[in-house]
Amino acid sequence: MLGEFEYLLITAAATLGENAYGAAMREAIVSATGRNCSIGALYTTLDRLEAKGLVRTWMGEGTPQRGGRSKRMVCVTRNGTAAARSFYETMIRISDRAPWAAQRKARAE
Amino acid sequence: MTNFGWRLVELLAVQLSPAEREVALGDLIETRETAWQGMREISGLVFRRQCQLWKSWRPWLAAPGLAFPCSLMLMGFSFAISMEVHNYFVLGGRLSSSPTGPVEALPLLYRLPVLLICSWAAGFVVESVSRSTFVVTQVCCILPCMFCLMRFHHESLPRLCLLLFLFPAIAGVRFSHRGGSMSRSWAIALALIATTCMAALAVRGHLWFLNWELIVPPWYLAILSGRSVRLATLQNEGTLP
Repeated sequence: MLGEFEYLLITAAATLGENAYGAAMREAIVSATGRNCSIGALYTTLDRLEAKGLVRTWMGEGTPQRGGRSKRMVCVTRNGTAAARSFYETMIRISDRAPWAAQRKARAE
Repeated sequence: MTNFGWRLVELLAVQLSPAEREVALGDLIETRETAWQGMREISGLVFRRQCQLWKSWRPWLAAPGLAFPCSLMLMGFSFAISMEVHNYFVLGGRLSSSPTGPVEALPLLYRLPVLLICSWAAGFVVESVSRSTFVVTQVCCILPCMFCLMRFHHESLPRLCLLLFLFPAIAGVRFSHRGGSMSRSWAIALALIATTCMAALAVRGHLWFLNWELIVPPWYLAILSGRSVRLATLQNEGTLP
Protein backbone atom coordinates (compact mmCIF):
# COMPACT_ATOMS: atom_id res chain seq x y z
CA MET A 1 0.00 0.00 0.00
CA LEU A 2 1.16 3.54 -0.75
CA GLY A 3 2.37 5.95 1.88
CA GLU A 4 0.61 9.27 2.42
CA PHE A 5 3.25 11.33 0.62
CA GLU A 6 3.48 8.84 -2.22
CA TYR A 7 -0.28 9.12 -2.67
CA LEU A 8 -0.04 12.93 -2.70
CA LEU A 9 2.63 12.81 -5.41
CA ILE A 10 0.74 10.38 -7.61
CA THR A 11 -2.47 12.35 -7.23
CA ALA A 12 -0.73 15.65 -8.02
CA ALA A 13 0.93 14.11 -11.10
CA ALA A 14 -2.35 12.57 -12.29
CA THR A 15 -4.21 15.86 -11.77
CA LEU A 16 -1.59 17.92 -13.63
CA GLY A 17 -1.52 15.46 -16.52
CA GLU A 18 0.94 16.49 -19.24
CA ASN A 19 2.11 19.43 -17.14
CA ALA A 20 3.27 17.26 -14.25
CA TYR A 21 6.83 18.09 -13.27
CA GLY A 22 8.69 18.79 -10.02
CA ALA A 23 7.92 22.46 -9.38
CA ALA A 24 4.27 22.21 -10.48
CA MET A 25 3.70 19.16 -8.29
CA ARG A 26 5.28 20.93 -5.32
CA GLU A 27 2.95 23.89 -5.74
CA ALA A 28 -0.07 21.60 -6.06
CA ILE A 29 0.85 19.72 -2.88
CA VAL A 30 1.59 22.91 -0.91
CA SER A 31 -1.70 24.50 -1.94
CA ALA A 32 -3.70 21.33 -1.15
CA THR A 33 -2.10 20.47 2.18
CA GLY A 34 -0.85 23.84 3.42
CA ARG A 35 2.41 22.12 4.33
CA ASN A 36 5.87 22.64 2.91
CA CYS A 37 7.05 20.07 0.37
CA SER A 38 10.83 20.01 0.12
CA ILE A 39 12.66 19.30 -3.11
CA GLY A 40 14.57 16.53 -1.33
CA ALA A 41 11.40 14.73 -0.25
CA LEU A 42 9.84 15.21 -3.67
CA TYR A 43 12.66 13.80 -5.78
CA THR A 44 13.69 10.97 -3.48
CA THR A 45 10.05 9.83 -3.28
CA LEU A 46 9.70 10.14 -7.05
CA ASP A 47 12.76 7.89 -7.43
CA ARG A 48 11.16 5.35 -5.10
CA LEU A 49 7.87 5.46 -7.01
CA GLU A 50 9.71 5.07 -10.30
CA ALA A 51 11.64 2.09 -8.94
CA LYS A 52 8.31 0.51 -7.97
CA GLY A 53 6.99 1.14 -11.50
CA LEU A 54 4.24 3.49 -10.29
CA VAL A 55 5.43 6.56 -12.22
CA ARG A 56 7.65 7.20 -15.19
CA THR A 57 9.91 10.26 -15.38
CA TRP A 58 12.00 11.83 -18.12
CA MET A 59 13.87 15.04 -18.73
CA GLY A 60 11.74 17.75 -20.35
CA GLU A 61 12.75 20.94 -22.05
CA GLY A 62 13.85 24.07 -20.24
CA THR A 63 11.80 27.27 -20.20
CA PRO A 64 12.84 30.93 -19.77
CA GLN A 65 11.10 30.96 -16.35
CA ARG A 66 13.54 28.26 -15.26
CA GLY A 67 16.61 29.97 -16.68
CA GLY A 68 16.59 27.44 -19.52
CA ARG A 69 17.04 24.51 -17.14
CA SER A 70 15.32 21.18 -17.80
CA LYS A 71 12.23 19.88 -16.00
CA ARG A 72 11.75 16.37 -14.69
CA MET A 73 8.45 15.38 -16.23
CA VAL A 74 6.28 12.80 -14.49
CA CYS A 75 3.63 10.42 -15.80
CA VAL A 76 1.59 8.03 -13.66
CA THR A 77 1.64 4.44 -14.93
CA ARG A 78 -1.27 1.99 -14.89
CA ASN A 79 0.13 0.37 -11.77
CA GLY A 80 0.43 3.83 -10.19
CA THR A 81 -3.21 4.60 -10.97
CA ALA A 82 -4.29 1.26 -9.53
CA ALA A 83 -2.23 1.78 -6.38
CA ALA A 84 -3.61 5.31 -5.88
CA ARG A 85 -7.19 4.09 -6.44
CA SER A 86 -6.68 1.28 -3.95
CA PHE A 87 -5.30 3.76 -1.38
CA TYR A 88 -8.20 6.17 -1.96
CA GLU A 89 -10.87 3.46 -1.66
CA THR A 90 -9.27 2.11 1.49
CA MET A 91 -9.29 5.59 3.03
CA ILE A 92 -12.94 6.08 2.07
CA ARG A 93 -13.94 2.66 3.48
CA ILE A 94 -12.09 3.05 6.75
CA SER A 95 -13.31 6.64 7.20
CA ASP A 96 -16.93 5.78 6.53
CA ARG A 97 -18.07 5.75 10.18
CA ALA A 98 -15.54 8.19 11.50
CA PRO A 99 -17.13 11.25 13.20
CA TRP A 100 -15.49 13.73 10.84
CA ALA A 101 -16.71 11.77 7.79
CA ALA A 102 -20.26 11.66 9.25
CA GLN A 103 -20.20 15.42 9.75
CA ARG A 104 -19.08 15.89 6.17
CA LYS A 105 -21.88 13.62 4.92
CA ALA A 106 -24.43 15.52 6.94
CA ARG A 107 -23.22 18.84 5.53
CA ALA A 108 -23.41 17.43 2.01
CA GLU A 109 -26.99 16.22 2.55
CA MET B 1 18.25 35.38 -5.53
CA THR B 2 21.48 37.35 -5.21
CA ASN B 3 24.47 36.40 -7.33
CA PHE B 4 26.48 35.45 -4.26
CA GLY B 5 23.64 33.38 -2.81
CA TRP B 6 23.05 31.74 -6.16
CA ARG B 7 26.73 30.80 -6.40
CA LEU B 8 26.59 29.19 -2.97
CA VAL B 9 23.53 27.22 -3.98
CA GLU B 10 25.27 26.08 -7.18
CA LEU B 11 28.32 25.13 -5.16
CA LEU B 12 26.16 22.96 -2.90
CA ALA B 13 24.44 21.44 -5.91
CA VAL B 14 27.76 20.13 -7.26
CA GLN B 15 27.19 17.14 -4.97
CA LEU B 16 24.16 16.15 -7.05
CA SER B 17 24.22 14.29 -10.36
CA PRO B 18 24.26 16.69 -13.36
CA ALA B 19 20.66 15.86 -14.37
CA GLU B 20 19.31 16.28 -10.85
CA ARG B 21 21.27 19.52 -10.37
CA GLU B 22 19.71 20.92 -13.52
CA VAL B 23 16.20 20.00 -12.43
CA ALA B 24 16.53 21.17 -8.82
CA LEU B 25 18.11 24.52 -9.72
CA GLY B 26 15.47 25.04 -12.41
CA ASP B 27 12.71 24.40 -9.85
CA LEU B 28 14.27 26.95 -7.48
CA ILE B 29 14.42 29.60 -10.21
CA GLU B 30 10.87 28.89 -11.32
CA THR B 31 9.39 29.13 -7.82
CA ARG B 32 11.50 32.26 -7.10
CA GLU B 33 12.96 30.91 -3.89
CA THR B 34 15.30 33.14 -1.90
CA ALA B 35 18.98 32.23 -1.62
CA TRP B 36 18.45 30.98 1.93
CA GLN B 37 15.49 28.79 0.93
CA GLY B 38 17.46 27.54 -2.05
CA MET B 39 20.38 26.56 0.16
CA ARG B 40 18.03 24.78 2.56
CA GLU B 41 16.31 22.89 -0.26
CA ILE B 42 19.50 21.85 -2.04
CA SER B 43 21.29 20.87 1.16
CA GLY B 44 18.22 18.79 2.12
CA LEU B 45 18.33 17.00 -1.23
CA VAL B 46 22.11 16.48 -1.00
CA PHE B 47 21.71 15.10 2.53
CA ARG B 48 19.00 12.66 1.46
CA ARG B 49 21.06 11.51 -1.53
CA GLN B 50 24.13 11.02 0.67
CA CYS B 51 22.05 9.04 3.18
CA GLN B 52 20.85 6.81 0.35
CA LEU B 53 24.44 6.21 -0.78
CA TRP B 54 25.45 5.19 2.73
CA LYS B 55 22.95 2.34 2.70
CA SER B 56 25.48 0.51 0.54
CA TRP B 57 28.62 -1.14 1.94
CA ARG B 58 30.83 0.70 -0.53
CA PRO B 59 31.14 4.12 1.20
CA TRP B 60 31.76 2.32 4.51
CA LEU B 61 34.59 0.34 2.97
CA ALA B 62 36.06 3.43 1.28
CA ALA B 63 35.92 6.01 4.11
CA PRO B 64 36.11 4.49 7.62
CA GLY B 65 37.19 1.08 6.32
CA LEU B 66 40.17 2.09 4.20
CA ALA B 67 40.85 5.86 4.02
CA PHE B 68 41.02 6.45 7.78
CA PRO B 69 43.13 3.46 8.94
CA CYS B 70 45.32 3.39 5.82
CA SER B 71 46.16 7.09 6.28
CA LEU B 72 47.31 6.44 9.83
CA MET B 73 49.38 3.40 8.92
CA LEU B 74 50.86 4.90 5.78
CA MET B 75 51.90 7.95 7.78
CA GLY B 76 53.79 5.52 10.01
CA PHE B 77 55.48 4.05 6.94
CA SER B 78 56.25 7.54 5.60
CA PHE B 79 57.86 8.48 8.89
CA ALA B 80 59.84 5.23 9.09
CA ILE B 81 61.11 5.63 5.53
CA SER B 82 62.05 9.27 6.16
CA MET B 83 63.94 8.25 9.29
CA GLU B 84 65.79 5.47 7.49
CA VAL B 85 66.64 7.67 4.52
CA HIS B 86 67.88 10.29 6.95
CA ASN B 87 69.98 7.71 8.81
CA TYR B 88 71.53 6.12 5.74
CA PHE B 89 72.08 9.12 3.53
CA VAL B 90 72.45 12.08 5.88
CA LEU B 91 74.20 10.18 8.68
CA GLY B 92 75.63 7.59 6.23
CA GLY B 93 79.26 8.06 7.23
CA ARG B 94 78.55 6.93 10.77
CA LEU B 95 76.63 3.82 9.74
CA SER B 96 79.00 2.68 7.01
CA SER B 97 81.55 1.78 9.65
CA SER B 98 79.01 -0.47 11.38
CA PRO B 99 79.16 -4.14 10.41
CA THR B 100 75.35 -4.34 10.71
CA GLY B 101 74.88 -1.41 8.31
CA PRO B 102 73.79 -3.32 5.18
CA VAL B 103 71.45 -5.56 7.20
CA GLU B 104 69.76 -2.53 8.74
CA ALA B 105 69.19 -1.10 5.28
CA LEU B 106 66.84 -3.96 4.39
CA PRO B 107 63.73 -2.53 6.13
CA LEU B 108 64.00 0.52 3.91
CA LEU B 109 64.06 -1.69 0.82
CA TYR B 110 60.97 -3.51 2.05
CA ARG B 111 59.05 -0.46 3.25
CA LEU B 112 59.45 1.56 0.08
CA PRO B 113 57.53 -0.85 -2.21
CA VAL B 114 54.86 -1.28 0.48
CA LEU B 115 54.41 2.48 0.72
CA LEU B 116 54.28 3.00 -3.04
CA ILE B 117 52.04 0.04 -3.89
CA CYS B 118 49.66 0.26 -0.94
CA SER B 119 49.25 4.05 -1.18
CA TRP B 120 48.61 3.92 -4.91
CA ALA B 121 46.21 0.98 -4.59
CA ALA B 122 44.39 2.59 -1.64
CA GLY B 123 43.92 5.82 -3.64
CA PHE B 124 42.67 3.84 -6.61
CA VAL B 125 40.32 1.66 -4.57
CA VAL B 126 38.73 4.39 -2.39
CA GLU B 127 38.01 6.49 -5.47
CA SER B 128 36.65 3.66 -7.57
CA VAL B 129 34.64 1.91 -4.86
CA SER B 130 32.57 4.94 -3.92
CA ARG B 131 33.09 7.97 -6.13
CA SER B 132 29.88 9.70 -5.02
CA THR B 133 31.00 9.85 -1.38
CA PHE B 134 34.58 10.80 -2.17
CA VAL B 135 34.33 14.07 -0.20
CA VAL B 136 33.71 12.10 3.01
CA THR B 137 36.52 9.73 2.07
CA GLN B 138 38.86 12.71 1.68
CA VAL B 139 37.84 14.00 5.10
CA CYS B 140 38.57 10.56 6.58
CA CYS B 141 42.04 10.77 5.07
CA ILE B 142 42.75 14.40 6.00
CA LEU B 143 41.61 14.22 9.65
CA PRO B 144 44.30 11.76 10.84
CA CYS B 145 46.88 13.67 8.78
CA MET B 146 46.00 16.95 10.48
CA PHE B 147 45.99 15.31 13.90
CA CYS B 148 49.44 13.76 13.39
CA LEU B 149 50.91 16.89 11.78
CA MET B 150 49.88 18.97 14.79
CA ARG B 151 51.42 16.51 17.25
CA PHE B 152 54.57 15.71 15.27
CA HIS B 153 57.82 17.09 16.66
CA HIS B 154 61.17 15.82 15.47
CA GLU B 155 64.50 17.63 15.51
CA SER B 156 65.84 16.48 12.17
CA LEU B 157 62.75 15.70 10.11
CA PRO B 158 60.20 18.15 8.70
CA ARG B 159 56.53 17.56 9.44
CA LEU B 160 55.72 17.03 5.80
CA CYS B 161 57.71 13.78 5.79
CA LEU B 162 54.55 12.20 7.27
CA LEU B 163 52.71 12.91 4.05
CA LEU B 164 55.00 11.02 1.66
CA PHE B 165 52.24 8.51 1.08
CA LEU B 166 49.96 11.19 -0.36
CA PHE B 167 51.89 11.43 -3.64
CA PRO B 168 51.29 7.83 -4.78
CA ALA B 169 47.80 7.92 -3.24
CA ILE B 170 46.82 11.00 -5.26
CA ALA B 171 48.29 9.36 -8.37
CA GLY B 172 46.05 6.34 -7.69
CA VAL B 173 43.00 8.57 -7.26
CA ARG B 174 43.73 10.43 -10.50
CA PHE B 175 44.30 7.17 -12.37
CA SER B 176 40.94 5.86 -11.21
CA HIS B 177 39.20 9.19 -11.89
CA ARG B 178 40.38 9.11 -15.52
CA GLY B 179 38.84 5.67 -15.91
CA GLY B 180 42.12 3.77 -15.85
CA SER B 181 42.14 0.04 -15.32
CA MET B 182 44.87 -2.49 -14.71
CA SER B 183 45.42 -5.97 -16.11
CA ARG B 184 44.89 -8.78 -13.66
CA SER B 185 48.47 -10.04 -13.97
CA TRP B 186 49.89 -6.61 -13.05
CA ALA B 187 47.48 -6.24 -10.15
CA ILE B 188 48.38 -9.69 -8.79
CA ALA B 189 52.10 -8.98 -9.23
CA LEU B 190 51.82 -5.72 -7.24
CA ALA B 191 49.77 -7.42 -4.51
CA LEU B 192 52.34 -10.22 -4.26
CA ILE B 193 55.25 -7.77 -4.03
CA ALA B 194 53.48 -5.78 -1.28
CA THR B 195 52.60 -8.95 0.64
CA THR B 196 56.13 -10.37 0.35
CA CYS B 197 57.71 -7.13 1.56
CA MET B 198 55.28 -6.93 4.48
CA ALA B 199 55.97 -10.55 5.38
CA ALA B 200 59.70 -9.81 5.33
CA LEU B 201 59.15 -6.83 7.62
CA ALA B 202 56.98 -8.93 9.94
CA VAL B 203 59.62 -11.66 10.17
CA ARG B 204 62.18 -9.04 11.21
CA GLY B 205 59.79 -7.59 13.77
CA HIS B 206 59.40 -4.28 11.94
CA LEU B 207 55.65 -4.59 11.38
CA TRP B 208 52.74 -3.80 13.66
CA PHE B 209 50.08 -6.50 13.17
CA LEU B 210 47.38 -3.94 12.25
CA ASN B 211 49.55 -2.86 9.31
CA TRP B 212 48.40 -5.99 7.53
CA GLU B 213 45.26 -4.06 6.60
CA LEU B 214 47.43 -2.24 4.07
CA ILE B 215 47.41 -5.27 1.78
CA VAL B 216 43.61 -5.07 1.47
CA PRO B 217 43.65 -2.43 -1.34
CA PRO B 218 46.22 -4.23 -3.55
CA TRP B 219 44.42 -7.55 -3.15
CA TYR B 220 41.01 -5.94 -3.70
CA LEU B 221 42.45 -4.55 -6.91
CA ALA B 222 43.92 -7.94 -7.85
CA ILE B 223 40.67 -9.80 -7.25
CA LEU B 224 38.45 -7.27 -9.01
CA SER B 225 41.01 -6.04 -11.51
CA GLY B 226 40.28 -4.88 -15.02
CA ARG B 227 36.77 -4.48 -16.29
CA SER B 228 34.89 -5.75 -13.30
CA VAL B 229 36.05 -2.86 -11.06
CA ARG B 230 34.86 -0.28 -13.56
CA LEU B 231 31.55 -2.07 -13.99
CA ALA B 232 31.03 -2.29 -10.25
CA THR B 233 31.72 1.45 -9.94
CA LEU B 234 29.33 2.37 -12.71
CA GLN B 235 26.60 0.13 -11.32
CA ASN B 236 27.08 1.62 -7.86
CA GLU B 237 26.57 5.12 -9.23
CA GLY B 238 23.51 4.16 -11.24
CA THR B 239 25.24 4.77 -14.58
CA LEU B 240 24.55 1.16 -15.50
CA PRO B 241 21.46 -0.91 -14.59
